[in-house]
Amino acid sequence: MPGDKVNRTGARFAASQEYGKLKIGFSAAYIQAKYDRTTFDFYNESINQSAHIPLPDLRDWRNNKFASPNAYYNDYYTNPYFRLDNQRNKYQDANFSGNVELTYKLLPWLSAYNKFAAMQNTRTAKSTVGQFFHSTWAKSGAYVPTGWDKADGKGITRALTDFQGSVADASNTENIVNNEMQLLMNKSFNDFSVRGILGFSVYDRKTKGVSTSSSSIVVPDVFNVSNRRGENAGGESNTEERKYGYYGDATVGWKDMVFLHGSVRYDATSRFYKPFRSTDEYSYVYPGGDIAAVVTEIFPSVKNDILNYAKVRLGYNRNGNDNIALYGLDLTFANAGGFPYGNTVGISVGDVLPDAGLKPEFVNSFETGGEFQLWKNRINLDFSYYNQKSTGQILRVTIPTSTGFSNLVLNVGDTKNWGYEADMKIQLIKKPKLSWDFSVRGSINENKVIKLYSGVSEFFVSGYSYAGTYVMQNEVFPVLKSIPYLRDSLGRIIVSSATGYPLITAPLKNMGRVTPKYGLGAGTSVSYEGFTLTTNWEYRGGCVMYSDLGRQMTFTGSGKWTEWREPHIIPNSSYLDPGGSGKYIANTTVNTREAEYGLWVDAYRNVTENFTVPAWFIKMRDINLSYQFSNKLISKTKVFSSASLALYGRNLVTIVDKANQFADPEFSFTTGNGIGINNTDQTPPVRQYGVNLNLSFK
Amino acid sequence: MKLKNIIIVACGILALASCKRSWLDINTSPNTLPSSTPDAVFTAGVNRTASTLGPNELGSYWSGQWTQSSTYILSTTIFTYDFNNNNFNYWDNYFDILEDFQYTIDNSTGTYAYFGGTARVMKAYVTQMMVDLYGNIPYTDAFKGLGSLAPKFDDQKAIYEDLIKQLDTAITVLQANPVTGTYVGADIVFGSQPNSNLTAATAHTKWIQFANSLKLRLLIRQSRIVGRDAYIIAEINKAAATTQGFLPLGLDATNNPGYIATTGKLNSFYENWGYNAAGTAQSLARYPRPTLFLFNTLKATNDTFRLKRLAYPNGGENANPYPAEIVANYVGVPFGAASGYLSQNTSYIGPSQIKKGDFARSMILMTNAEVQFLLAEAKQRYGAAVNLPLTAQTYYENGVKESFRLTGTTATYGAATATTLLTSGLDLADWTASTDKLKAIWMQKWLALVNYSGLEAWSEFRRTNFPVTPPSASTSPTAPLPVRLYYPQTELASNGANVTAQGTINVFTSRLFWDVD
Repeated sequence: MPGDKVNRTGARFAASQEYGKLKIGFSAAYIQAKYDRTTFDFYNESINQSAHIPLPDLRDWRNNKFASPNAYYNDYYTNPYFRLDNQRNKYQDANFSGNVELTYKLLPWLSAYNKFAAMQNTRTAKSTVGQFFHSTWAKSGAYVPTGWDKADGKGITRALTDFQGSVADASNTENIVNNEMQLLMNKSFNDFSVRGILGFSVYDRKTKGVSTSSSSIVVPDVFNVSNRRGENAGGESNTEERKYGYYGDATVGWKDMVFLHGSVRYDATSRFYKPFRSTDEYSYVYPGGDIAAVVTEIFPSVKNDILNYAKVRLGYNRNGNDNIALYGLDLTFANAGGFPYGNTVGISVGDVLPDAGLKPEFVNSFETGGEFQLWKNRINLDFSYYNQKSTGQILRVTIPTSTGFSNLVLNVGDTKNWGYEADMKIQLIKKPKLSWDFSVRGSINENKVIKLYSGVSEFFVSGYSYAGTYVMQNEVFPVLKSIPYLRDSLGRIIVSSATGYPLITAPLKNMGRVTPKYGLGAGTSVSYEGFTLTTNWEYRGGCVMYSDLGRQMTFTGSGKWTEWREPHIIPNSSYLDPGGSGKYIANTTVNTREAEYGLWVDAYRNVTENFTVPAWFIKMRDINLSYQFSNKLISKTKVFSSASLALYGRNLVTIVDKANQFADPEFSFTTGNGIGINNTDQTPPVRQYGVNLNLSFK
Repeated sequence: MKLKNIIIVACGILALASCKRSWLDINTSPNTLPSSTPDAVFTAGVNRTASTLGPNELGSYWSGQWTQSSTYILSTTIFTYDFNNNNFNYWDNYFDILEDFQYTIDNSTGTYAYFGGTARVMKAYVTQMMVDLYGNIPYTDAFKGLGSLAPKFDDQKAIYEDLIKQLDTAITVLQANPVTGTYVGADIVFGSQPNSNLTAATAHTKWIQFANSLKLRLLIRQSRIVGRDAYIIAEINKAAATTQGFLPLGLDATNNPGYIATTGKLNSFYENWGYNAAGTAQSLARYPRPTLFLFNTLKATNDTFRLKRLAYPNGGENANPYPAEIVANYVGVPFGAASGYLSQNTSYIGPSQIKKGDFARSMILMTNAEVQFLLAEAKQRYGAAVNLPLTAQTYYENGVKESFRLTGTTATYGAATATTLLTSGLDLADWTASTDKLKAIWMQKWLALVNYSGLEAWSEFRRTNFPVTPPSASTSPTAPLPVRLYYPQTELASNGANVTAQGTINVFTSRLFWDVD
């Protein structure tokens, strides 16, 4: 956003020393970051301004009388620059992290290792909204000259609501302590090489947050909770979680031709712990193993001029995960809205119901693949196939509110995820002065929900009531559902015979998956003398996305698709015979009743199929031109040992589907499972250009 | 030597491992309560019911009492009836509130038994509202949590009958368990309210009176169904036979936890349509407008004193200069008009509900006027068959007087104003002069519910088709009126099989069982 600032400084210190068999090392780092950002939805406010108003000229609301909230032209929406400057969140992170490592060589092939790491992060934040009282002229004196005013009356409607201001302070600390104790072994006997680790790890994380806030400031620009009218509000939040685990890992190699690797881990976590729960509900064991064989070494006859290296691998892995929210086993009772009123207490039953038998989730994965090198490593190929089955994934699903709760957390059933990946690297030219290599990789991914909770075949995951992501049995996870046009048997859009508008009462329809099915990446790098040019491209596709920005732009009329404002007949439409025959008559007579506003806001906007578009893209991720200074030049300066200069550009080219007039398909309104939906909280993507100078000192 | 080292290290690891189980015992949230006593949950439930009533204005619009100013773009969902199952979702919030009441009922043992009675009354109150909006709803299969994750729907008529039985149970519980002083503070309806003369000793009596009044509401709603008379008369007589009877004159059912001048803690009607904690007018105050039809109705019977309490003159309380309080300065807006009626030039919701600075008024759950009109209709329909001591005319006149009291007309302009109306000789005001007594009751009841009970007004409008309000200016004059709401998308998405089992719902023709025409 314009006006946002981020400032980050850090220092790191590391050292190590050996005393005989004991080696000690430590490192410590301190980073301080300061942020000054707006909390206002600038994007949404901006699209609600008329398109012909020169918004950038109205940035200076403090001095420009036309930009001041007392005279800004818009009767309903504020000057977005004013709100941008008025609503700020300033916060500081102070982060300290450090670790101490001890290694003791017990035997030549056996050593003991311990690493103790700690991290502390403190964040202090102050969120403010400035006070602004509109002038009397703005509230009741502003007028449009007679003849142009359309009986609008005096005063700016927006100015009737003053900004009282508010301030909110928060302080959050996070403390993590982690200890790894390991026994490492590395020994060869005859044709066998053995590497093994036995370990024990311990993890403890605490957080604490305290906040206080007040609304309605008395003295402007003094942002302190004591400068207020009304009461102080506030809260606190404390969390703690602990985990410990034992693990063992061993790799046995035979003649450097065949490698057998196995691992097993036992974890116990406090997130699933209650004194009355059985151990298998909060602790779990998961093993894994794989085998790799260098085929060209085992069967040397396979080696020839073309194929000089081939390795195949096969692996199976089981992974356990304690993917539940902290304290997620409890039904909570919180103060109901507004309580306490003085001495009157009101507590409401919580909305999130945890299933009684919640357990960690498991993923069983199987992978196989091969790596091949051709023409003396000029071409490198890698193929793999994976197949994963998740059992008991923990999902927070919506349940009917008639159960008394709105969400249920449970181990929801089985999903399967499989796919193919291929990677090829080619060294096209490899000469002393000139080299050129090229790489390409592709992937196909599929997944399917096999089983859900008994009696239920779909859940809402995230999004809006008119467009959202769902988990549906026997479908890809997740899928996007939007409201489609109602169509008759000939595929014509059904409109109302009274208004000419498309009907908006169709039930939600499955529009497709939101995670990309296909991925293709390509990159190339050319080097001549000291210059290197590198570029990377990527394609992802086979999915859809929903843009709420499109819906908003329909409301404001800023979307190009709304430019058909004369009365017209919806193309390829039909209406139900008002005579009651039950047939649909082709629409050649019923114009849209009011296409300036009504058609778009009341009908088009509510058919969210209009904003559901294919989400494929081709992007140039980066392009990099660097120059490595020659050693001759460098040795002339007595100070440096090497230097390089690079120019780079990121995100310079993006190609999307013609129908996608809205947003970058990679943007999402949440970091959780609700991908595939974006809205006005995501500002348009940016291109980055930069220069990098790298100097190494002697 | 070397082997010993290994053993020592291994033993150390094992030793650390053994004391681990209790080290994980930190999984209880320090931020929220794991359970609650039922009295606090009851307080939360009833306050949330009142808070939701304030902003939920759909009934006020669809009963023809309010419309919208042209300061805002016309809401087509409300005024052209162009809505789908994503609009007007009252379902989720009210079921969440009902869960609080269910929890109270399930845990009302021992010293908390009193709240088992009060929560049953409130559960009946909210459940009836839900049935009046949606028809068949989950009832017996609801609130079971894990026990039933896809609750089945119950028949609306059966729910109504069971609500009467629930109210009977509530009355029994309340008669056996008067509230004790310790918990009276949790009863913010009849137990304790700031600046009131409520006492713990009479709290349970008032709850029983409220329960009987709710029974009246349930029964009279069914009074136009053919063949229902015997059932209704029997139940009314049962209610009248209790020593407590119905809500006595002067007592409305209200909610007040002790509103404070802080955002989110004000009277919710005031905070939504009036002013914020600092006393600044809310922008939404410019949205709802009393209708032209309402004003014309009041003017037709010279009911102008009550008009001045139900509305403010053009520009509202803060108009500068404040217009003289003469009838000409009160402009109502035609229902559904999309332009030409800016908020500066039209009337605001009046001092009967909103007055600047008066944020601590109680929220009305049920007006006493409504109870009197229900008694009047019962007596008028069934005559001597119901054991109600007074005549229909007395109940009717008491209803009008109660409305004048509650709106503040009596306090501001004198008690004579009500008497003038009742002896005016005009139809639908003066009992003796009214040709259709039931219509007179319905009209005065409609007027008594203005600003207080919008959803109730709409239900009664659907039942009686009276008063005949003008069609929306934004639709064709013959456009059908909605008779119910769609089941919300949220319920369809998570409980789809049971929702679709209710059949195709046409919000203009799928009448509720008590809506006979």
